[in-house]
Amino acid sequence: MGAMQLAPSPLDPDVLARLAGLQVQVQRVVDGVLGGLHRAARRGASTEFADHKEYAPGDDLRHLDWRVLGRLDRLVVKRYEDETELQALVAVDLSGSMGYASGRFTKAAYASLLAASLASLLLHQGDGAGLLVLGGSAPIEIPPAARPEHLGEVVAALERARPSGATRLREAAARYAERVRRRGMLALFSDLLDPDPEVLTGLQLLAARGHEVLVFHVLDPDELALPFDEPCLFESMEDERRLLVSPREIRAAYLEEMGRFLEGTRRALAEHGLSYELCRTDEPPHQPLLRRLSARRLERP
Amino acid sequence: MSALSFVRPELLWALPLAVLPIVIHLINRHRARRRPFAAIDFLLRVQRRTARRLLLRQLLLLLIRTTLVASLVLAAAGPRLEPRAAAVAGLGPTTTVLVLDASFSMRARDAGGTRFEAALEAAREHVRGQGPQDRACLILAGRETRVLVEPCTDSRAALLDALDELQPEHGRSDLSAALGRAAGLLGAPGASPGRVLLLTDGAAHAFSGPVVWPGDQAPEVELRDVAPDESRDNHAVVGVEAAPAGAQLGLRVSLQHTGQAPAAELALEVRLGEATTRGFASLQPGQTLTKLFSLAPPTAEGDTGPLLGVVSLSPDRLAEDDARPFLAAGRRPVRVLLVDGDMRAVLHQDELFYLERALAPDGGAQAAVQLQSLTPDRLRPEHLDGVQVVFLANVRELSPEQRQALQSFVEAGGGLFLACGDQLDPQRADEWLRELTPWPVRDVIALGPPDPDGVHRQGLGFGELDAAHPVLKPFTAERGRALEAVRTFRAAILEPGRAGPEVRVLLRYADGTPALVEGRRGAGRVMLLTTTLDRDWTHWPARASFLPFLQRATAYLAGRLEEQPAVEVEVGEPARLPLLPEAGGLRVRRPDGEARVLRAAPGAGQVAFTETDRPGVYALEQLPPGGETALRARAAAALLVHPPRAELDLGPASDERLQSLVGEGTRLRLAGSGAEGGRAQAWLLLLLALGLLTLEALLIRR
Repeated sequence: MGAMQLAPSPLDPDVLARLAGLQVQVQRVVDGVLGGLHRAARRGASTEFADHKEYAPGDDLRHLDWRVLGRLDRLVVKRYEDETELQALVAVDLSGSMGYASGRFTKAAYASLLAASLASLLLHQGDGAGLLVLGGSAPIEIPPAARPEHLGEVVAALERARPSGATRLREAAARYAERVRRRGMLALFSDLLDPDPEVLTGLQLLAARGHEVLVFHVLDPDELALPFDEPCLFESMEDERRLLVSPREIRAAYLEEMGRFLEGTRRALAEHGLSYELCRTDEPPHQPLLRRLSARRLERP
Repeated sequence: MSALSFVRPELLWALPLAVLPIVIHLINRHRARRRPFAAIDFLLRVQRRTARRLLLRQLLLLLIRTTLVASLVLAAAGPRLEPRAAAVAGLGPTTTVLVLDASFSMRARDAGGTRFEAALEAAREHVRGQGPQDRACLILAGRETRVLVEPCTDSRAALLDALDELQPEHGRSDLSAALGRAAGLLGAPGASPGRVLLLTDGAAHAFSGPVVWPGDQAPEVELRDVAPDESRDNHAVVGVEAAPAGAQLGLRVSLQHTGQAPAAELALEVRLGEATTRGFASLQPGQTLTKLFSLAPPTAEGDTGPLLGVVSLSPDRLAEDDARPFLAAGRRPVRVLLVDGDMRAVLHQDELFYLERALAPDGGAQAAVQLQSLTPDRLRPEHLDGVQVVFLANVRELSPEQRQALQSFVEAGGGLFLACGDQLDPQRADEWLRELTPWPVRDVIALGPPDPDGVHRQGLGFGELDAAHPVLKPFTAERGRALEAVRTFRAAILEPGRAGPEVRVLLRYADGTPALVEGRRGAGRVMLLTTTLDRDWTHWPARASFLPFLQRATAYLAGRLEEQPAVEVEVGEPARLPLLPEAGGLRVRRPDGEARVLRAAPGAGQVAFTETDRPGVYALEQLPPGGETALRARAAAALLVHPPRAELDLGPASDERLQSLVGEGTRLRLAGSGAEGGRAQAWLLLLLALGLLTLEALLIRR
């Protein structure tokens, strides 16, 4: 009898990539996130009551307002200070470099899936969510709204978009500042491979103004390990640059360079209170969301 | 001043392979895979930072790999640094006498060819490396020491042409004598100072003794050993004795192994016609081992003469001594005619009862004889056609026609065995037997002392026997006691003083009365047994010795016992080849197909043959005086020439022994060459290759 072989997780990138349509993929990722969150401890949540919202599947039943249920026969849950409706903008980098894939998911597809899943989660809990596509075949900007059907627009827009062109991450902060007046949240999904040295400055300014900024750093395993052996003619995915080199010879220096970049980015964001999550396209997409959302709960006072 | 040469220069053709790493590098660059990559900024930054270091590393790797391949090729070619001829004796032209060992052991084959070929190549290299005024002579040390280029010449072409003509020989060489000849050439008037370059496998057997240098001063001698050190082991088949063993052929095969390491599980095969038998042998160094084989020789129709067989051992580097031919008597049944003088209806009382069972103990299934029996009255001359031996057992009388036929039969080479009995009337026998027997019968007497009632029941045992005779050779002193126990009660006595000139008493009774007598008549032989072949007068037929006696007597009368299947000598030894009395010459067909006719005076008995210069089978044909048509020969059918046994030991002489052989005052330089010559240099190159390999691995890992 052979060794027992575990069936792949339904949230494995390979499995998800076979599902038709972003909507379905999003639903599965959201289910995975919610399942994970319900299992997670909820220590440190705020106790300052803010308002009510209609009950929706996935809401914690402990926050069900029994008095309203008894008086008005309606299912509402109490929301606290930190859980009041949030204006969030999900920004997805669809520049040419996001088109790279070593597996089934390009970085763009992976980022889109994460972005749509986060939007779904936000809408699910009554917050407003909008979409901003940076780069790509056509500029896309969907203002935040709290309507549940708003998710469909977001998903449809992401499905239409194709990675191309150069990276312009500075736009993300500027557009967000135009759209979101009061305190809100910007979630950026990008490989951050932007030659602009000031790319993080705008994000840091937003954080300084009290906005919550989440950076999901999406990278392919190839970019993290440079696993090629034979000589390669590397070609840029955004311009005409090329390089003929034996990866084996420069791998150590490359990994050192990449390590410095990751550490520098993480530190630069952390110093200004921005959240950072490294996402590998070969890990189940609900994992970075779950990590980030769990950490966000823990980070709350 | 030294010159670089190579043991296997043909391998230098592989030197261009050294550029292979560069070619592979260029091909790889050309075949680089195109790969869109998002993080190309990092690659470019890294490349800018490391470009110079990478280029240097790349160049270093290519240099290492190129040198690595080149050093491996050079090591395989066997580089050798040797002094230039002119450097030997200081400045000015020099003279070198090249002495090439052409003995049998130089035919040993190493990786690059035979040792003789290695010696030739070393000689050619020396000639090519000569300065324009350097001179050289050439001596070939084979069965004879031959000076091939004399006087010494500076013509490289002449020397190279002479070298191209040389072939290894099959015999022994005497390097001591060859060095003496070389010194003589160097000591010739007007010769420049010089040296002797001896190219040999260094085998100890090649020196017959200390070299005798003519003149006062011995020259410098460089001994170039063309045999690799590890290749001194050699096994060989050194002897094969074939002898009939009943219906089978018994073989004693002698194997020899010399060297350092044991030879285990060597495959051994004996092939005789279509009959084959196999075995294995394991030998220790210095051991000589005898293996016994028994095989059924192929049956031949008629008297085809001896059969050629070969014993072969797993071949080693000196393969020519791993197979040895031999000749064996074929399984040719002797046709025997039995004339029954006292046929009886009761089987065991018949005169031939014991005789038939002694000659064909297994009922004739695999007998060495074919028996035909008849009564005297039915004997016709045509019954003798194709018959080799006739037994007349207790025959009373034969007609004149029968006697004449038998007489002709014997004189033509047939064998006749006469046995007595109560049918034999001495008075009448004297008439008809006179023409056939060597010694006429006078009377029949009782043997041994009589019992008190006058009956001779005690009988007599056999007494004196001729142990040198082929028939009675097995009955040595110890086994002869078996004959003493045989009791014989009656016997015919022979007419004293009437024996022929070639009569020989082979066996006597204890009281001296002849029991077995042999005589010659023409080319044939006659034996007379003075008692019976059944148990009427003797108990011998019931004794164990009766069977071998009769079988050997039959073989002897048929001429099989003294048949000498082959004369065997070593290469270079003169062979004395037997001649039939009626022959006037011998034709010898050499293994190379050439024939020689050797003439001798009739009756000379043998003839000398000296052209035994190569091992193999030399077929022999007896020729009549003045004639060319071969006689049917009973003498040796072949001459087998084997490699010299001394040449089979490839062990080298020690340095001390060599020094003592060339003389303590002689400047002896010992140099490895051939596969060994470039060993030190080859090892250095291999070490360099190993170092480069390590360096490359380190560079790749960085």
